[in-house]
Amino acid sequence: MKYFYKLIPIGVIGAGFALATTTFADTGTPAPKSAATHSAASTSGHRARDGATLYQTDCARCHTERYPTERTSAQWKTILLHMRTRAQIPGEDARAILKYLQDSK
Amino acid sequence: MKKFIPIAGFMAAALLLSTRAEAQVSAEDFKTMQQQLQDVQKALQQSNTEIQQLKQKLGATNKEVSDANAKFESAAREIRSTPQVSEESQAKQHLVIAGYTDVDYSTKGGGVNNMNGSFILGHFAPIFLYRLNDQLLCEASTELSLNQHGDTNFNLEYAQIDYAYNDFITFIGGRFLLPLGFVREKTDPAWINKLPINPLSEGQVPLIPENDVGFQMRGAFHIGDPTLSYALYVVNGPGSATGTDLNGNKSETVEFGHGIDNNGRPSGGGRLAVFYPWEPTYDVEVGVSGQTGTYNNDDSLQWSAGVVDAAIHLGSYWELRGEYLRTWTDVAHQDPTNLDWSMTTERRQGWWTQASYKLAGLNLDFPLINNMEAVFRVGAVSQPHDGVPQYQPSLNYGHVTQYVPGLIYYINNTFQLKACYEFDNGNMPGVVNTLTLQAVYGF
Repeated sequence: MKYFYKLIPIGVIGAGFALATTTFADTGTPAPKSAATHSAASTSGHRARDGATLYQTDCARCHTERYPTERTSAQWKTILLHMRTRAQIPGEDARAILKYLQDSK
Repeated sequence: MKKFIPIAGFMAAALLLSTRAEAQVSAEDFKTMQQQLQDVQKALQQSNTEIQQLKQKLGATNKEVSDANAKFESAAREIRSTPQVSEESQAKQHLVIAGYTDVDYSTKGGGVNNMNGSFILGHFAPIFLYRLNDQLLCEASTELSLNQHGDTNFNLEYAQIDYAYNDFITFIGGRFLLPLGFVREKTDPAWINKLPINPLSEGQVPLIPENDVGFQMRGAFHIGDPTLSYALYVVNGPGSATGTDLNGNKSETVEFGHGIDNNGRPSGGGRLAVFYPWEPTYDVEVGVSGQTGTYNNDDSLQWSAGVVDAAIHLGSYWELRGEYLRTWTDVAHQDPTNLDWSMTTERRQGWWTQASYKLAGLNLDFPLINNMEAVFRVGAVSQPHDGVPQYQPSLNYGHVTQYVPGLIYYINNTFQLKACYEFDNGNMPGVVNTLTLQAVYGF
């Protein structure tokens, strides 16, 4: 505990980053949007990619394709919450992939 | 002149007959018949009008039926495309079990001292994912396996709570896989790993720990087209082990896998990576990660690690991966004559690179070939002789270079048969040429 004060800078940086990203985040909850594709005015201004493309890019870069019919919509929702953490997928992209998987069933 | 006489007679007779017939219908009858004829014509005209009206009505009815069919088809399509809203999908809390299981055959027999070929129950590794709401997830990965004595090994790979704070930040608490390189976090599961064995530096001769307990902040965001991912964490850090080094002196060095912090001072680390997909199936990722902290009880010995990793996909068939790892370990040695302690810093390093190619890219009309992927991995590990406790086989000393050609046969997207042969060239005990076969199913 006597050395814990040395971790304060890390905490301050983390809190500052969290605060900064909150202003850019379109929502605090990863609720599905109405469309599977990114809007042209994406929150971070990157090139728009649809859910199918993101699925191919973000999922297939590590493992073989998992078919949408392998899981229920609710299961995909849980798995995507897991995978956006594990594979470090931005929330906006994770929602597009989830919608693609749910719509492709 | 004579020949006209019969013709004139015939015409006269016809005139007489017609005069006679006209004379037989009275004017009144003629009017009646004329009236009847007009009535018939009128009725016929009315019937024609009714037929036309009926035809028009039939056309309108047909159009209505056609429109109704189109509406029905459209509604059916919409129903088919609408996700089924079930009680399960509306539930806020939800449990999913995923994971993998693998069965192996190894000519090394699964143990350093057993050089006979043996079947091995590699792993049964269920992952429990429990979603509390849209932002909170509790997850744990367990590994059940058999050791060479037939005892069941239970390994808690990770057990953590994830809180998705926003699109760019997730907070994690618990025991988590360390984001040092990408093997531990992303390609370690047997159904994802393209060979039955892990790279030397994260398998037989682990240079870095697999997991630790602490807190982590991680996430990703776009910087234009590329994605920048980050992870920052504080953990208990590795522990220490004392033993006798190869010079016969008492020594203290690092040991992984401790569940608690033995010196009250956390270790810190993180990973920063850039992922750039310039088009679908073409992408590159480069990452840098590291960890540092003290590991012994009196907080005087430091262990640090640095990893550079990269992965490239060139189309649907080619994949290249690799890592370079380096660690710095302060090791204490006790002089047996005056019992004074001295310290040296050991520098261990390892690297590996792997190329894989899906043979479907050859466009051969042969199913067995199309379901195969060829893999080749080469790597090396160097560890110094000094200060390594003899009883700790995971920290072998010496140097070894490993060449591993392998082949995957995809029965389907999650069921694979794999084979590889490792050629080991070096002086590290327990690392020997080995054939490994594996059947693995990801669920």
